[in-house]
Amino acid sequence: MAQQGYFEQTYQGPWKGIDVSMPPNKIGEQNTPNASNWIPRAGELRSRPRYGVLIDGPPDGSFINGHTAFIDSNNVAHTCAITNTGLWQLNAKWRKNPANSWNLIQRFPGNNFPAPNNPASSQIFIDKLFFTLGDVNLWQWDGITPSGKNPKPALQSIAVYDVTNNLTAGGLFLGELDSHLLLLNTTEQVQAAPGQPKLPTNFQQRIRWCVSGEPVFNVVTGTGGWDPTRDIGAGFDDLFDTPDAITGFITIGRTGFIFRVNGITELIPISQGLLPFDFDHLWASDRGIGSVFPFSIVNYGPIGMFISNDDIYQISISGFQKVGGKARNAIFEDLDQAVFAPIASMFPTFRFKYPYLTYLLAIPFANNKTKLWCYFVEDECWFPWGTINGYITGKIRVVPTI
Amino acid sequence: MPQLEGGRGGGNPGGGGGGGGIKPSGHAASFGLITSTGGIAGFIGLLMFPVLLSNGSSQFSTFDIDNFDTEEDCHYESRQEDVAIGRNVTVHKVLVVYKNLGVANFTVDVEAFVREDNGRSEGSFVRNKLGPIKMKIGSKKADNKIRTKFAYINVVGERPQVIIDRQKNSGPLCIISATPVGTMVEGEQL
Repeated sequence: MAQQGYFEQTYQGPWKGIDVSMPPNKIGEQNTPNASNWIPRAGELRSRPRYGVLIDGPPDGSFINGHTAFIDSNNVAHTCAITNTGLWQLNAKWRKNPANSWNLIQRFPGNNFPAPNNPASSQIFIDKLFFTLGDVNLWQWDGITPSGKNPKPALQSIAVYDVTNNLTAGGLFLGELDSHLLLLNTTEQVQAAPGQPKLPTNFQQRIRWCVSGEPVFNVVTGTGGWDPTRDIGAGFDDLFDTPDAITGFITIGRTGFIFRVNGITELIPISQGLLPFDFDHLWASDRGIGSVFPFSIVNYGPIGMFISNDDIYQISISGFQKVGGKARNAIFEDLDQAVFAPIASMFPTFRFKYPYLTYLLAIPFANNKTKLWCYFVEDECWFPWGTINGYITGKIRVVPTI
Repeated sequence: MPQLEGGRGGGNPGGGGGGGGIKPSGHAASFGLITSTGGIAGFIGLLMFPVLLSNGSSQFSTFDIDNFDTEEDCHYESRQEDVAIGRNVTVHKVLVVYKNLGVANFTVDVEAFVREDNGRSEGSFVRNKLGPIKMKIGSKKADNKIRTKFAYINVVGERPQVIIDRQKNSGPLCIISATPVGTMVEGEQL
């Protein structure tokens, strides 16, 4: 005799995001086979924060490579935009006068204009801003020049690796470890002979470092800088042991991790003089866990994330962990549609009052659309955030000086 | 409020990554674990990122944490619930628990599978006959308190699945839980 039964099933937090690893009737009750535009913080499923314009770009309409903020040695705060034409600074009264939000610090001089359209790689080091765009320059601005007492140009290309012939270098990636600035996947001026043209040449497997604490060559003392023939603290290494290109760099603790397409190399500081680093290839084969996408490597504090061929990984002091998890298949289907390298960012908060460590992956689709995927570290879950019109061209950062 | 430009920052910028300098703390710490990321210190801030538009111009965009009225549609599907494998169940309501963040409009529906046993077709997917249930929640003065509403539905089929849709610019929606409720026939073996 058939009996009438009663059922109810509650779907509630902590929400665990997309799960396409199993059929939709076999996944957990906190998972979803299909969703978009939610943020699951604190056990609530909220429609995500509204996307919109914050500040118009610089008035010359240039391509924005990135932005950052720093405090100079005079304790003055600067919020800067790096474009393919130069360096800009945000006006203090930008909210009241949005038409004049940006002031030009300096255009890139000479043949360096316009610069490549790569995401800017920047470091704040010794109260100065350093950044590189993948051409033959590592730019420095101290936040003070030019001034009445110091008429030097604001932007200086400081990675002079051959002082005698004035040859400079830049790189796709910039890092800092043990007070050495590091250029990775370098592009350098190469001269067949003195007096010959200086041709930019890319070295995808090269890492260069400056003298510890002295990224600019001191012409008076003859020390510092990037030229190992002038100061043994500078140097370079070509990772010929491993047959692929450098795709990124992060530091966790006192260890640097150089990412290659097919592997990872640990960079361990061992001295302050000749050979300051030990290079330890975690994988030295032509196939292994590395980072396929050059701008997908990010870190915040002790956590880093990157995209490999088989999964998305989280790297920490305790080792490697797969975090693509149940959403991996859906994410990789979207990555397969990318029209150029996706850009990932990791930020601890949307604003100070809303801390929620997030890894945001921006995948550029055709027709000027970008698909967004968010990994919320606290809840260990993935949610897609729909698409926005346009392409994200630099890292997402929380700018602390606004 | 720290000044953006031309003003004086508030003392030592440390407290972030190793590149900006670390302010010594009062308690013991392992310096081997201090990160060397060149991070930036600061107490308040704004999330921003550069976007290249189709007309070639660029802008800085943000996600506004003071505004959860998403400018795009929001969509959520629960898992397909195997209440009783191979048997039809009747879902007659969905209990929605939400937090009042302001006036919001959304819809609740249930989709189920109806099997065709005579071999003529692959079966069909059915939803509420009168369409998705429109829900209007919240008040102009958001009090962030939790409330409950029922969405009365009539869907019969296998593997019912709750579907929540919120159209763009329909207000800030905050779901605490969703509970489909219904009945099923407990019969003999399939």
